[in-house]
Amino acid sequence: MGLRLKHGLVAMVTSVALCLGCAAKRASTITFVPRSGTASRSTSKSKSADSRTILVVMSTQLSAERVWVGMKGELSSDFDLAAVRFDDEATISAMSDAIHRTAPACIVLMNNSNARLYARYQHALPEGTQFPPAVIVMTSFLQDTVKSIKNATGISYEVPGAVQFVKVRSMIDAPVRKVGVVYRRPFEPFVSEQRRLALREGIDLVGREVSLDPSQNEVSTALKSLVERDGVDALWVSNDEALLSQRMLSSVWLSSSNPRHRMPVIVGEPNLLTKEHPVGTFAIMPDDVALGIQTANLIFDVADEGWKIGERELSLPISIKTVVDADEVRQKFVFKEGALDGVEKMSR
Amino acid sequence: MNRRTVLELALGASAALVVGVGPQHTAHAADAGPRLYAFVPTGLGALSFQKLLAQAMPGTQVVVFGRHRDFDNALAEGPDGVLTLEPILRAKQLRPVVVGNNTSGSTEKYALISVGQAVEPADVTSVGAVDILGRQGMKEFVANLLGTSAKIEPVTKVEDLLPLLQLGSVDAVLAPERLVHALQAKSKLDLHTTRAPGAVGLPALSVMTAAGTVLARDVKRLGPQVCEEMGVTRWD
Repeated sequence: MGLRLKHGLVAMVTSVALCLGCAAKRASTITFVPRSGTASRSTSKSKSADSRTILVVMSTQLSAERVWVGMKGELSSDFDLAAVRFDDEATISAMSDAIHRTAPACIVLMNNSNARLYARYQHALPEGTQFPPAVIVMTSFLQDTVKSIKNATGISYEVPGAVQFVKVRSMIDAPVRKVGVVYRRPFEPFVSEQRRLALREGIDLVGREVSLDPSQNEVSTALKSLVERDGVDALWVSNDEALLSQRMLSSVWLSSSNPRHRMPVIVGEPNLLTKEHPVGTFAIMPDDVALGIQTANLIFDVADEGWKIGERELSLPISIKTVVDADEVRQKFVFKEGALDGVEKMSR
Repeated sequence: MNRRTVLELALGASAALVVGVGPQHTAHAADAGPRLYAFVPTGLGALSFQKLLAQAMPGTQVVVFGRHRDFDNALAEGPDGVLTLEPILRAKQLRPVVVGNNTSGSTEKYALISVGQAVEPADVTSVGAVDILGRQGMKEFVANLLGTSAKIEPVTKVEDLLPLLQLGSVDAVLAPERLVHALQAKSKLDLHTTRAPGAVGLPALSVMTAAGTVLARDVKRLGPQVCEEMGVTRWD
């Protein structure tokens, strides 16, 4: 009872602080896109919103803008849209302000920092507070993030391995039967699921687990085992920041002793194909505009179900964008006919 | 501006080109020939199909759209002609003046492609399809094609149908029968096909201005390669 009272007092104080914060800080600029037309206006004034407003909390990154473009095109004829752009320094009161000013039927959260901020906003409010459905996109390893947010679903940002491996297999005239990946222990369930999906496509995903805080030597040894002992045809570089730190890049991935040079290496970021960081041969990531359209369709589905998330499973990104350094790939592999159709080409 | 930003901008610009909002979309010199807007989902990427169609129609400003929404919005710009699937022309109340045909007429059969076992159209509860008509239009399109209502997972391009099957997101996907072989060649999934009960009208040309009347002649002269991409063997 005492603990409950204490929580109640903390929540009450926090709520008051949030309201005071709203009043004290300069309001964030919200871009409103009215339902019927294409005209948009930017304003920092309050708006009386109805229950058909979708609030999109996004970053200022180009990729987020592309997702917004895809989403807006699909949703603007049916919903009022409001977009607010937060950087990593945004506060709970800024989030609270945006929500109060738009009274959204649904909130879209883009990027890790905005998802974390919204989780903190929820936790700051009293137990039992009802929250509109939240759709989370562009967030790494969403299956973990979504657990910290009430009434939320979303689309994972990791392109499933099976989709990536089949894409590479369709592009080059070389076997892609066994793919290796180095992963940290917490990612074991993710890798297991990827292995299951890849097997359906006749591809064996072989994983080498490293510890939570691996040394460079540990990662390097795992990598060599995949190539020399397991005999993989290709490598898949996980988008795990801990494995792609500057330290890991220079001492493992870009080291001359890395045996990756003989095989296709699939990465999740085009900057890992550059002259400075030539880690990969193929970069495969979600097509941002198509991801925006997929997000819009998910929102339509949630709306059709009376704005209920229910037991809805997380979705996976369907449409991919592939980037290759074609000249580099040509030196090692033979492209199949039409392999570069629809593929972004870059040169180092 | 760092290297990554440059690359991201380049990718963005390229995407804009594909959807028809790039530089070629705004340069409408009066003497550059009639403007033809095309939206025909093919096995090729939109940019590759645009190159193919533009080469086959010298003297015409060809803009190929990769997504229904972009095509829909661009129609307000008043092109001289549009080349798209017959159901889209019908939905826009545009009259076809040249109609694509194959060996069996002006429609083509679609297949339901599934993993593990063939599906009965009446039993399909979720289906993936390339979005050609928007959310409401696709409901009617799929219902007409299958003879039953199913939840639709729309995708923006033909290539995206395979991931829906790989990830088990739907019971089946819908695609023209002529594209089934390419899908099977790409995947090692245990794919099965069932012919959908309905059929879909092949691409047709609608002329929207006087300047666009020449497009009818040019479309009828399109070469076999570009016609094949659209599933057409003859234009009437």
